Amino acid sequence: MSMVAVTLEQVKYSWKKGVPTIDIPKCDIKEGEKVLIQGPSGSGKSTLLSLLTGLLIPDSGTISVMGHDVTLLSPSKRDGFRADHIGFIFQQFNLLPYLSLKDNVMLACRFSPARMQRALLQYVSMENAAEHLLIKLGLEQQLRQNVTVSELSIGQQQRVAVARALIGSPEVLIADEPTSALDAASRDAFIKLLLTETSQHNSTLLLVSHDETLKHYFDRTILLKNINNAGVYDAA
Amino acid sequence: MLLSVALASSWARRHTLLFIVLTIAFSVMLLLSVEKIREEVRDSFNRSVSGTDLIVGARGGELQLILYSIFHIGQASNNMSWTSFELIKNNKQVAWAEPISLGDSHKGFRVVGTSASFFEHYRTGLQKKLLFQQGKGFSDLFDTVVGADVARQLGYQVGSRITLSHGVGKTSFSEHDDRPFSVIGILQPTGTPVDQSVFVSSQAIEAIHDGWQAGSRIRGQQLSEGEIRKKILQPKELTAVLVGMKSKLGTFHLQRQINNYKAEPLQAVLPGVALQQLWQLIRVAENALLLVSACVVLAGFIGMLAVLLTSLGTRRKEMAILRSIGATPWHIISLLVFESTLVSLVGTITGMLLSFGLLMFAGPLFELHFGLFIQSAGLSLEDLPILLGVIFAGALTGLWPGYRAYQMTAADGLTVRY
Repeated sequence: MSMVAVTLEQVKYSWKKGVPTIDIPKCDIKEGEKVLIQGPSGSGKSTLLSLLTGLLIPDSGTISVMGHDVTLLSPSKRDGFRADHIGFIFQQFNLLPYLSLKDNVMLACRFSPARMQRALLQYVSMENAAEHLLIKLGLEQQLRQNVTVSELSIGQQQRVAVARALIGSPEVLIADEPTSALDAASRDAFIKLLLTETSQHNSTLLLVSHDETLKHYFDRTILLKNINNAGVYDAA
Repeated sequence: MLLSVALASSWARRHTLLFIVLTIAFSVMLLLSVEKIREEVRDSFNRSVSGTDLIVGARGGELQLILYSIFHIGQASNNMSWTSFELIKNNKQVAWAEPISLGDSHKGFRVVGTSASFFEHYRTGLQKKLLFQQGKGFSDLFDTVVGADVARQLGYQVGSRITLSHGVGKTSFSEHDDRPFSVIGILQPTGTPVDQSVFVSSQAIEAIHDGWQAGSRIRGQQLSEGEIRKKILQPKELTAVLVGMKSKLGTFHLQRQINNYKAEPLQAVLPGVALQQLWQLIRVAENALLLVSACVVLAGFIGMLAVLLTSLGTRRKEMAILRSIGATPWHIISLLVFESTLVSLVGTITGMLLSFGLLMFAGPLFELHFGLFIQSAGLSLEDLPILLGVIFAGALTGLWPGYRAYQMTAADGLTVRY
């Protein structure tokens, strides 16, 4: 029997009083599961991500990640918890343009001694860990040529972001529409790579997207409107 | 651990930050230079009276007496009698007394009538004796000794012939051109008004005014040089007396005696006390200058604030990325405080170097035009609180953008709204 990675129970959140954005009675995501969370804009995706990463605290209810109720943690503990357990991938512009590719990847360990320990255990040095990940993600040439972030294509930048999310093997990977800026070909390649890598790291993957064609890559698809009672939807 | 990220981030925006560094550098330069010049003015004044215990002159303002007799600023309203000078000179407690007769000039430089022993007794700086770079003190009636600046600016050598002018203006309509002097000695630079003085004997002052009345020559009463040399030139009046005491303890006693002297209205002034009055007088102006400099520093910080706040817009994503990998709001605030501190630090150091450069470059000009001798462009201990204050204020300036950035990341979460 597999463990539960993420649990939401009776989670309510509203930006404005009386107008709830999130009202999720129950949602479980199992450890190692690859889940696509689908919903159009305005369905509360961003708010859900902020709640899952502990940047926002729900008005009521509990959110457990890897058995820890994040709603009970202090703000700085939540920041530490996010650093240790969650790898995050943005839609785009994931990287700090003034750092090298390797430094961008290693950045994720700067705020998490736990992830640094794990990376060191696996690869002896942080540099090694970052290089190893970048090479596995097909960026060997760029690494050797020491290119800058701005010289990379968007797809390549997203792959560096995956390396950063994976370094030190956090239990949960959360990606916020990571393919929206990619064309169809590179999108499929990127998703395949992301899934392979997360599987190898035994990580749980939550990918938020409105793109229905991604469905068949995932173990499960959650439609936000099915779990969220508070979403604002178009009449269609 | 955040430090290298902060440094790299600042370096990436160095072109914008450079201008803020320059703004702060210029304001610090101004602040330090004003401070330095203020210190040097005081030093230069103190240097000029280091060996003199009392200055005696006709009764009037204490400050006025020291200003005209030592610093050649303004003119004496009254003279004192030569008899009083001799009484002071022969007082048992007095080690030495030198007469000072003013009122003539040479091409804008003041002429000081004194005795040959002046060069023995006068002290500058830390009790430094006057030294000759060329020649020696005067012995003949028409000998003159000139200060270092006079010799340098007018190109005089020992043996040069000069004439004096009546009055102290730069241009004079009544010249003592009938009585030429020859330069017999040139003094070494001292950084005091001595450098801008032309010294002749008290008797020579008497000689060149022989046959003059009320500031102009009387026709037909001109004596030849031979005749004037034969005449007994006993000065009847002088401007001031510099007194050196055998023991400092006697100073106050003699001062009281002179101030209470019944035969003539005289005053004796302690140079240090008179200078204190001067400092009080110019403190207002000094403070105004300092205030203006401080305002320039403030303007620099407001500029920095504007730049940092503007940069936040473009750094939103940077903040969101850092938050996503676990940076706390404190990390975000410290990122901005670090940057403002760094900018202030670099600006302050640049300002210091600029100030040194300015004073080194402008030092000779100050000396030329104001007789102000800037000794060292080095950093003095008194500047330290100013510099630390600027850096600290710079660090504080970063708090506001830091707080704004924190608010922004709190509102943005992980999705940057534009």
